[in-house]
Amino acid sequence: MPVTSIFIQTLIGGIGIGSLYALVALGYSLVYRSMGLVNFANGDIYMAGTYFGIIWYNGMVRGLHLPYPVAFVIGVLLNAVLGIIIERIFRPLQKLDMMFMLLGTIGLGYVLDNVFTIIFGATGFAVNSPLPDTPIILFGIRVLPQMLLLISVSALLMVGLQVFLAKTKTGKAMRASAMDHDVAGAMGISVNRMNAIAFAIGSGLGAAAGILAAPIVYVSPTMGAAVGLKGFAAAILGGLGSIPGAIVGGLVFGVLEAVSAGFISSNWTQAIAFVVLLVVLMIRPSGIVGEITVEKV
Amino acid sequence: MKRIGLYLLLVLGLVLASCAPQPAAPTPAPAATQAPAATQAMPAATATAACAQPIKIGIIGDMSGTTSSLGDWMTKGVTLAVEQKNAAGGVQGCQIQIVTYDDQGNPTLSVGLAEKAATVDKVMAAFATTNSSSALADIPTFAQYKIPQLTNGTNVTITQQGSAYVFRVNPAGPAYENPVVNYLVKQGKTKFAIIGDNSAYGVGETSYQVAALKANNLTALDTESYGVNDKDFTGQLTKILQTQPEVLLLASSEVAAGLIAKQARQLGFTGIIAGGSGLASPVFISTAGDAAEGAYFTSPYPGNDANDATRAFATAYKARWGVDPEVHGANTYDGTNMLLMAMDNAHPLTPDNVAAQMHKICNYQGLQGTFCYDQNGEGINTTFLGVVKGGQLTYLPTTP
Amino acid sequence: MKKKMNITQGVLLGVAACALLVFPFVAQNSYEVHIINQAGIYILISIGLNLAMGYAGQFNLAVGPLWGVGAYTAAILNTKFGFPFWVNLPAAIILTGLIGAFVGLPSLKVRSHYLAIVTIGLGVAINIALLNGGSLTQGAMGIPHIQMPDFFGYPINSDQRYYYLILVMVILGFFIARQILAGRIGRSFRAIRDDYMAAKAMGVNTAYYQVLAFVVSAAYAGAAGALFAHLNTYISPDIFDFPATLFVLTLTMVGGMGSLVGSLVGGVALPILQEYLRVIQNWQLVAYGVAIMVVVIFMPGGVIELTRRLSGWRKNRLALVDRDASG
Repeated sequence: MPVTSIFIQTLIGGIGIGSLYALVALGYSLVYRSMGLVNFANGDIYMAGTYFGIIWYNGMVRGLHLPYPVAFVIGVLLNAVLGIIIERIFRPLQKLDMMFMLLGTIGLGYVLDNVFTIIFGATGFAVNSPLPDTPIILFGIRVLPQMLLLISVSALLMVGLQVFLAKTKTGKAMRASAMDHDVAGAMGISVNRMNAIAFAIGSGLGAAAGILAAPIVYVSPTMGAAVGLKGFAAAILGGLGSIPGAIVGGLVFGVLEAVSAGFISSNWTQAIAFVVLLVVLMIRPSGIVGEITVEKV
Repeated sequence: MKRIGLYLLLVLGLVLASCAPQPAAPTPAPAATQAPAATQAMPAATATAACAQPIKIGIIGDMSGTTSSLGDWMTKGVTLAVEQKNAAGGVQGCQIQIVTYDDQGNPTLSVGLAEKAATVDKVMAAFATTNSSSALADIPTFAQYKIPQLTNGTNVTITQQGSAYVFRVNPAGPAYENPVVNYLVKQGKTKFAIIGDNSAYGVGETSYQVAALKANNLTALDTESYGVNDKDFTGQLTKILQTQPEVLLLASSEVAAGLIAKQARQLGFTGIIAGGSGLASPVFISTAGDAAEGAYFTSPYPGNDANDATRAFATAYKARWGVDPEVHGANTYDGTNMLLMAMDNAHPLTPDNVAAQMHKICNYQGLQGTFCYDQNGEGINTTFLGVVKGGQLTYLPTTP
Repeated sequence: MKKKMNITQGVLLGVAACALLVFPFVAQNSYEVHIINQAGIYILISIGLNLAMGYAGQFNLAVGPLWGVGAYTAAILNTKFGFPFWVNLPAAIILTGLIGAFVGLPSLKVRSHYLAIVTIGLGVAINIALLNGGSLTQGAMGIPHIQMPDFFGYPINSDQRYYYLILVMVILGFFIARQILAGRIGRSFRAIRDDYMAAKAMGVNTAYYQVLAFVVSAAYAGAAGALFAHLNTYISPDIFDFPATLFVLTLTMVGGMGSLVGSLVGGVALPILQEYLRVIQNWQLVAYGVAIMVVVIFMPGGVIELTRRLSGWRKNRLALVDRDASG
């Protein structure tokens, strides 16, 4: 295998897991730019969303085996509802200092993790891919159909989100509300409603990521911990609050992990990823894209 | 707005509740934990007057939270053996009571609970724990109070701490890796690569695999590691596959082993996948899917259908807990039976004497094979080599 | 801040001192002492974290792994070179403090959430270094057989005896922290926390004090690490991870961020809360999460703020009465 193919093969793995980080990072950024809240329970919300969708597909609810796309939609919607509830719980937090957000949202994370553990058990389960399990081979590079699905649906969702924010009335209202709460309020936009929508979309994206990745990664109550932390790192890397930043940050973080595991040293993969994050922030303190550097406190 | 929120909460609650019945099976299980009185109530009449209080056996482990399967399996195995003993009259006329301690998989909490078991509940012996780090952390405490500590962790260093009070109820790590490596070398394989996680378990198994290869004058073409929470191994596997190994050795827990097997096959690996007890599990097979086919594994437990003893155990276990036993349930069951035997023989019945009697156990026939404890607390050194066939764990005929 | 002590306060302090001194003798069992010892170690880390976060406004979310640096320093010096606790303690404080300075350097460039993730990330890197430290740190297997300390030939080899060592260390740590806060450093810390730009304009060397805040919090974590290693006699990398940081952060905020007494209160209250939550078994971690949310949302100042508010309310009422009487 020539070095370029090896590199591309590694890259594709990185992009796959990077799309996952990107969707989770979007959850952080959407909520942050809307209400200035860093939601550290986002990884746990991703976990919850995965269960909300997969249980319908996997026959865990009264033996039902709904088609994968239907389960996907149900999961995304249910998680959006969860997001709206969580927004209500966290509303008092948005005026508080960073460390209160950190701890308050982590407290919710504990609750979600352990409630799901109690209901569904700690062991977790594997999920069969709705697509064939044999890889597609192109120029000696092998890609799993589910991985292609994950990457392409993630890309679609990201484009869709951009269009939604730029073109629709609600999207524009959300942007206005994110820029200035007071002005938006004066214009008759309900800031709380916008926050709730941001939370719903962020949670829905988390569910989408989880349900798409489930056949690749195994489902268990612990699945959110690492993805949540890395998704946050990705959001910061791209520029917290920036939508393109979250996407770029997620992909870069995923590729960085795969490349350092494949080409440098797999013992130090995580350390390398975080040190690169540090170096980037030293050069560009507001992240790679990070055009907005609002201090919302 | 508030009403809507409440309504949504209700809907969500209903959704969650609707899924509850299926996994409800394990819920009646933890009976022995908080209400030990109930489990021993029936045969209590047989206890002699000499026995004012039941004898306590502690179980320290991960009982709640996201890695609680380990504590759950251990509790099931120990409880089954204790209940059988209690029904048969107990130890020296005394009933046995189980006290469980939840360390949440955290070694710091585990040490505190070892102290609690030793000084507050004054246990006769304790299982502590499946997690090798916590087991190691608990050793000084149990050694200080001279209380036998039983563990089913596989890390070889557990019995190298110089404690006369620690007993492993299953084989140590090398016993899992040597047979599989030796077998494959005998089949003419020479090109091995290793991938394992960076926890105490994975690092341990990796080093035993390296040692097993070295004993055959081989070195691994490549050795890669990953974090315990990693899900994508493309980077590591792509690197490994460039070295074109014939055998990919896994030093991984069940889920990661399944994911690695799957991803290795998808990346075009056609050689043999092999490893230790992480692969000897239905979880590995369900996670890996077709990729599990043909994988070699080793297990200390020959399977529920291996012989009369395992069949009897599996039937009793299923009747008590509603699920089929797996390896942890089997090895803690073995360990508990030996502990109860040592307690029968200890006169007077003190933890120190029980430990001394444990050391004397030899030629004990357990589910895992023949036990003979040495001064370090190692009791058994044999495992069963098997291969995944038709989605089932099948065992190869044992050849010495 | 300083005020004269009145008689009731004096009596209370005396009672508290006596209670602390005789605690190991009246404790029901050594498990209670063990829990309190562990709490004392967390309190030390918490005091450091409080100085950095509560007073200087610097997020040091690497205190868990830094605690590990202290513990590993002591463990390696003891098991590989045979040095006693009394040498290892200052060594751990110094080395951890130095590494704390490195962790603090990014604070000159990034702030708030960005600083949070950078310190979390550096903590992960430290933890991985402990894991991959080869024969020096003995990797994932950890370091066993660390000796318990010895005080001029008197062995501190039980939880009861160790209690007094930890008590002395916590009292020392508490008063050193108070001294730090009372002086120039404390004033600069608060100035940076309250208004960074104003502090800079007033001529405070902000860079120096920001890094110093990290050094101080790391030094406290280092001392706690040495104490932990010699008490526990076995350490492994998975003890000193991000959840350890979170636990210390939680107890600090439950007690009261920005109050040294808050660290003491939280350090004792949280382990006791956990102990009581055990009775609800599976639901204990759910309840723990709910408790954290309740504290953060309804009493963000922690327990200390609550008591302060209660006493403040009483004082206000008295003041009102006084005014009424005079008017």
